[in-house]
Amino acid sequence: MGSQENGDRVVFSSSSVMNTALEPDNGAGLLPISSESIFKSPSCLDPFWDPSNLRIQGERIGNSSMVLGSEFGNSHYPSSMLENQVSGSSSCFPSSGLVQVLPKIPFLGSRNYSEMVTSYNMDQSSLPPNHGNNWHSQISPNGKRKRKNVEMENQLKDPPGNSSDSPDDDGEKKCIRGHSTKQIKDGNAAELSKENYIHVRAKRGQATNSHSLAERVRREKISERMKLLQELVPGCNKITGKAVMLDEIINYVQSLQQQVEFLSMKLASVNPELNMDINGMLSKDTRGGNVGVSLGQSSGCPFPGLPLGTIPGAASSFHPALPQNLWSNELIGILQMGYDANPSSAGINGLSKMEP
Amino acid sequence: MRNSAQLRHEFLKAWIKSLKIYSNLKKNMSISHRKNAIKLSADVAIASITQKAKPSASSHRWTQSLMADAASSDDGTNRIFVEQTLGYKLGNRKKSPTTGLMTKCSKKILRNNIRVFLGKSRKRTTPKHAKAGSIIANKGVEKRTRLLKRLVPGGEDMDEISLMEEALDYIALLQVQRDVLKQVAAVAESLRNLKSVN
Repeated sequence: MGSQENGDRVVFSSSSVMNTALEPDNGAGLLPISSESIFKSPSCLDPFWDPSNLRIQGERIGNSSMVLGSEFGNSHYPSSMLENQVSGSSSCFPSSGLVQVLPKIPFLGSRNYSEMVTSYNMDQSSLPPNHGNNWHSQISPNGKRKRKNVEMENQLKDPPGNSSDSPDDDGEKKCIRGHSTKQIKDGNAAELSKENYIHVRAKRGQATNSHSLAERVRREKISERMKLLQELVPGCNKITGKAVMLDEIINYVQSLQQQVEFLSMKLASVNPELNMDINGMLSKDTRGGNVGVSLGQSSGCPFPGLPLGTIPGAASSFHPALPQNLWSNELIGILQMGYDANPSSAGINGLSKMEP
Repeated sequence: MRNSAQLRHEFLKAWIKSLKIYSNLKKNMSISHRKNAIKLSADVAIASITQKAKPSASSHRWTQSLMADAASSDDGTNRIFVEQTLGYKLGNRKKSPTTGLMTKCSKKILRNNIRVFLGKSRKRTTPKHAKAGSIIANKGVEKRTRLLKRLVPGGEDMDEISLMEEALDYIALLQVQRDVLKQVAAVAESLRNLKSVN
């Protein structure tokens, strides 16, 4: 192993190395490497060494930096290592010691690494050179590719981003193993690949299973709409959770429907002829006095903005208290326009008297 | 997005217009008829203004199903009424509630079969009890979505996402209906009280 380390160290030192904050005198071969340099010299590569894999793994290792540090006798891993990884240009790894160390790190799960490694060995040729490809655009044309391969690519493409989901991630990473030979079936691929692909990117720490990605998209859509609904339904600001929210929505819709029904019943009882002649109604208003004011209170002035000047003719007959009732004024305006547009309705319009 | 005041304007206009058409068609209605007429014309008015203002919204299921419901009542006058209000002939919309169910069922069957076929090679990756909580929670959500589907017209064979959009629209326009009706009813009632006083 020592020789291996030495060999690797030689590799590293010869290639152009981008510096991280890590100091060069690493006792056990913790050297900063750049992924680009590795790619340039593939022949020197240890066959087990997928640099991009290790980049990802390195990110994880960063989480448990102290463990590795103690392993190698390094007293520090700079926390800036993670930020360096975010920049994507370089990453710090222990060299071949990684292969040794990984099985000892419980949370990493040797299965992940070995799985990735084995799949990498199997499918080296089919790895796309362009890591920028979206996972989805790869799935649908290559429906036959093995799921593992796709998932590994997803892992490769995972940009280091959110790191908050490690327990969740572990749970979901487990799923990857199980789907070794599963082809991608109609269910999800069809949903997403109707005409236009919905491009999804798995964030760091999230599952890259196509099922879960699709589910995630769907969940996000639903929560978006839930938020909109929250604004519409009064009194739902503090509610989180689909079930309660749905309850509120259902209650609200039911209450609205009942109100409409009740109001229409009320109107029907008041108005035996269904004529709704509001002009007539309001002209009686003037004789009635302050009825309009009460209306203004009940309606809460919902129609701001119609200038009184637009009301043709009828305004002069109004009691001075009435113009405060913007609502009725606007109604008149509307009805004037409406009546002008419908000369055929003049017959009914003639029935202006409302029965008591 | 139009503001609510504008919506209420348009609704009122459309509603009164449709009421007139209705009373042209039918005379001497009883009170329940009248109530239904009011509701019907309100619904149709809502649907028509939605279509006018947002051409894309005519793809909204609930407008179409409202009109279909309106047009499909017992006597033919309703249909005529609806058509007159909207200004065009309604195509004979065959209500096929089964198709949505069938596609859902077939999809489900397909998925289940696939799972069965592949189930052998598929290892159980998550312990069963880990998902129990979410399953229980989802059952509640399912019940409620079913309820909502029944409430929103045309919501029966829609998936969750579009159901929520439809519900949004429907709620907004129910609010408009309610507000306008409320005000008109208040005016009418106060006038009637006034007359009885005089």
